Formats: sequence, structure tokens, C-alpha cells
Amino acid sequence: MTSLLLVVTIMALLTLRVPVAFAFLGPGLGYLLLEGQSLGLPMRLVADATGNFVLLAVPLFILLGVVANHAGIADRLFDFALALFGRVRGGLGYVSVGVSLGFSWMSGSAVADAAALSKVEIPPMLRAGYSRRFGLGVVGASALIAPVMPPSIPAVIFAGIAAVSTGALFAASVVPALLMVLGLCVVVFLLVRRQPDIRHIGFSWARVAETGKRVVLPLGAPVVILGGILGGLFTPTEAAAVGAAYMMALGFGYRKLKVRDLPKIFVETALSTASIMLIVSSAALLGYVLALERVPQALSQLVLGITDDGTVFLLLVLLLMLVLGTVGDATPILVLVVPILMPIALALGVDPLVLGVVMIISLMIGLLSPPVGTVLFVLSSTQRVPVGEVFWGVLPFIVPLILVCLLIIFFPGIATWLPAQLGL
Amino acid sequence: MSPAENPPENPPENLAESPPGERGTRRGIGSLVRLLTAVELGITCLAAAMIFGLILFQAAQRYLPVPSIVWAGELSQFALIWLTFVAAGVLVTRNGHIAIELIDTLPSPVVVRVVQTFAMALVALIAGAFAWACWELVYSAGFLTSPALGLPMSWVYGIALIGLVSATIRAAVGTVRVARFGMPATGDATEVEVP
Repeated sequence: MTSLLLVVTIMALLTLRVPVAFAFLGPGLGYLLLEGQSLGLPMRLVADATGNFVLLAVPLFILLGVVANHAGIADRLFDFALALFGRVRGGLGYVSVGVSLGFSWMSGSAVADAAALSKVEIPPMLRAGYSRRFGLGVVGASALIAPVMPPSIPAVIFAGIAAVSTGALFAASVVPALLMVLGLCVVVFLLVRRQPDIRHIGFSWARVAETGKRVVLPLGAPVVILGGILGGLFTPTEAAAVGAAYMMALGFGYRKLKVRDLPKIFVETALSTASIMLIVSSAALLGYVLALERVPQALSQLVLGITDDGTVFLLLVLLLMLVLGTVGDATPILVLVVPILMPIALALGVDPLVLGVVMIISLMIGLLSPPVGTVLFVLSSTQRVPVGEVFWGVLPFIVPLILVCLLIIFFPGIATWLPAQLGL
Repeated sequence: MSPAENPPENPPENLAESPPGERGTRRGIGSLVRLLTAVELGITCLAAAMIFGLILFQAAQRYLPVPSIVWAGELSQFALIWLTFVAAGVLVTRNGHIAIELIDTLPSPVVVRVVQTFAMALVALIAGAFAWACWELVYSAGFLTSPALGLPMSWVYGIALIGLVSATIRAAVGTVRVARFGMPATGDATEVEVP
């Protein structure tokens, strides 16, 4: 009864537009005080959850993305992809997917990716005769590659909560992210056949070579980060710092970054980090309260009563995440749901890496769906178009993303193969 | 999560129409708040830079002939706590906290504003309660020190207290502001704004 009251209170606060962190903190604090716990306990739980060493990777990967944005890496990647694919029919669509793939190795946030790349990619598409809806769709959907492909901020959060190796989860995400790229390219192929008026851009090896030279060093960032983690040189947290330092050195080298820009970059990083970390820490308090109420055990018994099949369980998780993702942000959902789902997954023999990848991709799809799809709002704001038009644009691209989730559920080896090969 | 659907009205800049005494008071409060925001952003900036520098050093010290600093990891964890809580206040003013903004899509601006005002008042209440809890912890954990650095834990929680007090005051002021002028737009994260 108490746990039901707690859940209803939280839902009411969230509906009333109380920020997620405060909607978790208020009822959590109230519960502990009514239970006669010391006043300092809730604050200590929240502070301890914030100061988690694994989660130190969050600000550092955000820093990496912010520095990459300031260093003008998106423009370089775009020029190179354009030189490569400009001549292909619907080339700018493939360019958009390709640039997102390249940028995803440096950024773990779909929102940052959509904000940075939409300004670079959509105007040339419109000039070349592509429909605005197509441009919005391909850029919005491609932005989801960033939080799936390592370094992924949701993966760091999942790994921190589920106590799985961040490096293994990074490795498990690579093949699914590449499948997303393939699926998006298929949709581009199908959609551009209906647009006969689009213009092509001439191809020249000289241009490929010239623009290619400009991306050699930026594409070294994923080598530094993933090579460092998978080669055992750094922990994921250290690799994030080394990657950010590498990107800073490039920014200074390209004269896009000045020392006086650094305070602004660190403040931007800090504010983005704080909005995520406050939710993570407040959910720790709520998790403590739910554990006292034995909610995970009750839910676990409920789910195990419905099915004892790991595949059916993952299908239910996919459905749940797609629904939750439409109304909530990925971070609070992950921090609340993972501690509940993990014991069930383990009981059913589901690999935690598979659970993590399915949860991350399905939650990211929520970024493209109303009423609160953040990527829709970012594109609507940067392109000055109604949110509805952006949604109709991204709708065909959602299909392959769901298909990728289903493929992972039915063929878990897609996620587990690479970590196994790397001995993670 | 999403930018507010209803464009906020800007508070009227009617200093010239105000009586000289009130004008001076408002200017004084504005300067004070700007200073406080600058201090808070300064702490968050320093904390983020500290995390970056310390973790980078920790990675480097394994491969370079430099003395090992055992407290680097511990201090960076504290910096993450400081960054998170000190930024909480600034995020209240800048509408930067993640919230479900379904309510903003309602057709009646009056209902939207009433709900937003109520939400902001609840934020003030919850932040205030946590500031109280944090004060209790500062007081009770005063005798504890951190394992590696030997830093009094009251300092660790004390800096977090700054952010919680700031969040309480900003949300209380924000309640009045939202009631009068509506929710501010989600702003440039680095811009220093008078609440």
C-alpha cells in the first residue's frame, strides 16, 4: 500500500511538471522521515550515489562531445562524407547517416548530435532538392546512433547501475549500432526513389583526398578511446579524459578553440552533467526506498509468474521501454528500471549486455516520438518547423530501429559476439 | 525535456518608470544575484576542470615516471558531488532540469501557468527540505574525514549545501516570477542570467 502511494505521488509530481530529480527526492525524503530514519540519511545516500567512480565517465564523455562540437569536427566529417557519397543517388541521405556514425564515436548524446548536425546537413539537402521532411527524418533518426555507439552516456549509466563492465557494454553496442546504420541506409534508399528531382554532386578523387586528410586526426579519437579501453590501457573513465584531451589538442591545432573558450566549455559540460547526475542520485534514494518496500522482489515474482522465457521477457522489456520512452527521459527510466529488471534477467538467463543494448536502443527511440521526444523538439527549434512535420519525417526511420531491437532479442549473439571475441 | 511550447513573456524592464529608491534596490538585487550566479558557475567550472585534470593525471601517472597521487580519484568523486549540487540552483533558474513538459501543451495558458507555478513552489519546498537534511549531515559528519585526502566530510557536504540553499531561494523567487511572467525558456547553459 505504501509503495503504491509512493508511485502514485511520484507520477502525480511528474505530471505536474516537477523536475524528475525533485519528483524522486521529495517522496523519498518524506518516506524515510515517516519511517523514523535520521534526517542526514537521505542526503548521504544521494551524495554517495553521485560520487560513484564509474559515473565520473559521464562528465568526461559530455566534455568530449562539447569539445568536438566547438572544434568544428562535424563540418570536417560532413565535407568528407559529401565528397565520398555526393554522386550516389540520394547521396546526402547517406552522408547524413555516415556523418552521424563518424560523430557518434566522439559524442554519446543524441540531442547534441541532432543539434550540431542538423544545422550542417539540412540546408544543403534542401538546396539539392530533397524534401524537408526527408532531411528532418534522416538527421533525427541518425542522431540515435550516438547514444548507442560507444562512447555512449546511457551505456555508462546502465553499466554503473547494473554493475557490468562498461568496456564490455561498449563492445556489445558496436554491432547493433552498425545494424542501425544499415537499416537507416535501406530506408534512405527506399525513400529517395520517390524523389526524382534531387540533384547530385560531382565526384573527384582530389576532393576525397583533400577532405579525407582533414578527418584523419579526428577519426583518431575513437581509436584512442576504444583502443585504450579494449587494449586495457585505460579504464573507460580515464579513456574519456584522454579522448577529451586529444580532442582539445585538435581544437587548438585547428585554431577553432582558444584558451579563453575553456571556461565556457567546462560550464556547458557541468550543467549538462548536473541535470543527468541529479536524476541518477535522486533515483538512488528512491531505489533504497523501493528496496525497503521489497518492490523489486514483488515485481520479479509478478514477471516470473507471466513468463519463464528470456526471449518473451526481452520482448516485454522492449514494449515497456518503447512506451516509457515516449513519456520519459532515458536517464530516469534507466536508473529506476534497471535495478528491478536485472535480477529478473539473471533469473531467466538473459545476458545483462543484451538487456542493456535492447533497453538503450528502445529508450532512444522515445527521443523520436511525441509527446516529449527531445530530438523532435531540437530539430523543430533549429529548423523552425512544427514538431508534427519532424515526427512525420522520422516515422519511416523508426521501423528499422525497432527491427534491430527484435534482431538482438532473437539473435543475442549480435550483442554478445564482439565482447566474447575481445575476452570481455 | 522539451523547450516550453508557450513562449515566455520577459519581465518588464521598467526601471525607468520605478521610483528612484525601488530602482536602486532592484539594481542592487540584480547585481547580487549576478554575482552569486557567477560564483556558482565558477565552482561548477572549476569542479568540471578538476575532474578532467585529475582523471587525466591518474591515467598518465601509470605510464609516466611521476609520483602517484592516491587521492586523485577521491577528489574527482567529490568534485562530481560539488558540480552536481552547486549547478542544481542555476538549473532551476535556467529551466534546465529535466522535466516532463506534457502540461505545457495544454491549450489554456492560465492552467499552464498555474501548474508551472505550483511545480516551482514544490521544487522550493523539496530543495529546502534537502538543504535542511544536508545541514544535518554537515553537522553530524563533522568528525569524519575522507580516507585518502583526509578532507573533513563536513566540507564535502558543505559545498553541496551551497547549491541546495541556492536552489531553494531560486525556486522560491522563481515561483513568484513564473506566476507573474510564465516559465523562462530553456536558455544557453553558460549565460549568466538575473533570476
